[in-house]
Amino acid sequence: MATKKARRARSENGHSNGSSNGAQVSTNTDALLLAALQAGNDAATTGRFLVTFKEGAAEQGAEHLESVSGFRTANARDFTGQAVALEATGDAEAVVFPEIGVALIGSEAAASRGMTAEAAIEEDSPVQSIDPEYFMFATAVNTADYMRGILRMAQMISADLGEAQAGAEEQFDVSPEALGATPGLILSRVPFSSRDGNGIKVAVLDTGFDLGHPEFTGRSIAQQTFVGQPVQDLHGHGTHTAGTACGPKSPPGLIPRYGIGFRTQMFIGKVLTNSGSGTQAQVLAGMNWAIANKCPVISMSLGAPVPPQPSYTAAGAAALANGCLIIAAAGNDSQRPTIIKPAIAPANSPTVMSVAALDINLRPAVFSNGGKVDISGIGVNVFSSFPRPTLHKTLSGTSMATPHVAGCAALWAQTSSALRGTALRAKLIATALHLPLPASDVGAGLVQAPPF
Amino acid sequence: MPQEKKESLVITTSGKRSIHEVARDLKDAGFEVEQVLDSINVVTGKGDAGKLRSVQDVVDVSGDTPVDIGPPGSSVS
Repeated sequence: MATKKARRARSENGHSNGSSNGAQVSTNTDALLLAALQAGNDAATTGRFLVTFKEGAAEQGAEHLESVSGFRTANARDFTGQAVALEATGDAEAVVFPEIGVALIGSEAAASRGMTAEAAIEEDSPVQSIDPEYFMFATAVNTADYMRGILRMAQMISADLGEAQAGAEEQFDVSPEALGATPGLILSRVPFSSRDGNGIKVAVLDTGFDLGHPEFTGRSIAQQTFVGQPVQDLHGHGTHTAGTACGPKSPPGLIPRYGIGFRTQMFIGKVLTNSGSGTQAQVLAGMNWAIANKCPVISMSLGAPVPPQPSYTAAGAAALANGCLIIAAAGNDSQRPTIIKPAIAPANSPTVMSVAALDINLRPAVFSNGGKVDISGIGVNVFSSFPRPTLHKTLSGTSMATPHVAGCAALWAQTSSALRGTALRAKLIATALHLPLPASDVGAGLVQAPPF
Repeated sequence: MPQEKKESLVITTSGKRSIHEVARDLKDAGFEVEQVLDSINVVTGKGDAGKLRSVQDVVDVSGDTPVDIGPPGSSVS
């Protein structure tokens, strides 16, 4: 009976996959997808549920799941550094993530107890909400229509600038000069947002920054080195990534807009030397600094191809607990379509948001790593700032995709002081442009700026 | 006397008590403390990993790993 009720509830919600697919918390994503596809319809949910506990009620909630609801529960705290491998949770029916106040419930376990997303929640319950777990996959957005819309908008901007060329209808010029802003910003709808990131601290942990770059004159820039070299960027990478996240609205002359949070407070942590390398301890020192300074957005275009590191996972959890969100590059080790390498550390930690790179046709960049991917940004041929005397450069990588997400995160954080930490992460995921591609390649889809 | 093995380490602590107390215990166990990162419950420094895992409130002891984005001028980073 309970099973029937749960199924019906999902159907009414429009997210049914036709049957309970027996998804355990330890079932891997491929198996979940396979089960959902075999069930037919357009499967949007995995069959599992995410229970979000009220603020500060995670402990009580975990207790409630075990003693009141009778779930066999695994706790993230039982894993070293809280790096939970869901595949390693065995016969657990629920996994509790106490630091973020969320529990994942297997579908059979949920069904057998009549758990649905619509179930009334008693006022004194530690549970805040029960939601179906979604595949970030194959939603109804028609990408072709979207691209046509983008092209039309870009043509209008181009015409406004008096640069429209004959035949533009047939052969569209996607150069940043023609668009007025870089394609990465346009596709993330940044120019159409009224937000500027004013009052939001954005930490960029990288090779430093060109502190004398003429397009950043007068900006509030806090700086700290962790590598024994001055913050001044002699590499270029840090100036490029910080430019995308925090660069100006109107660079001089015909330079297109390349920066997102143009009124953010920049926190530049130099954790990589001028040769582009560093150690985990230096990177952790930078994370510690950014969290101690309560930066709501921490952008990290760096990493190493190692398994999830307990120290990074702890740092990510500390960030979330302090209203900060760490956004990191998934890495560039793949050669698609033949070789897809897993996301690197720190992006592979569950408490860190992992960013994949897309090209302007919204396909995964050939180098972009997969697996633990949460969201995507444009990361191919990205135009941004570069140290003097060059001033600008076009670079590619998940390093370039990451600050697109960080910049948009700053805009979202400005819209509400409640959008911090896990809430900010949830907002970015909920508002991303869903793509008809596996979540393991693009996560929730392409990051989008607030549409107001 | 076996020679003491000192390597750069990243030590993650539970956060259940003051990280400065844990750092002191690590020092007593022979760890050369370099950084006490109190916002993220991590201590870094040099020592023998095998001797430090049993210190109370130590969650993980890992070797410090190199991190990079590739050399200057690389096309993908």
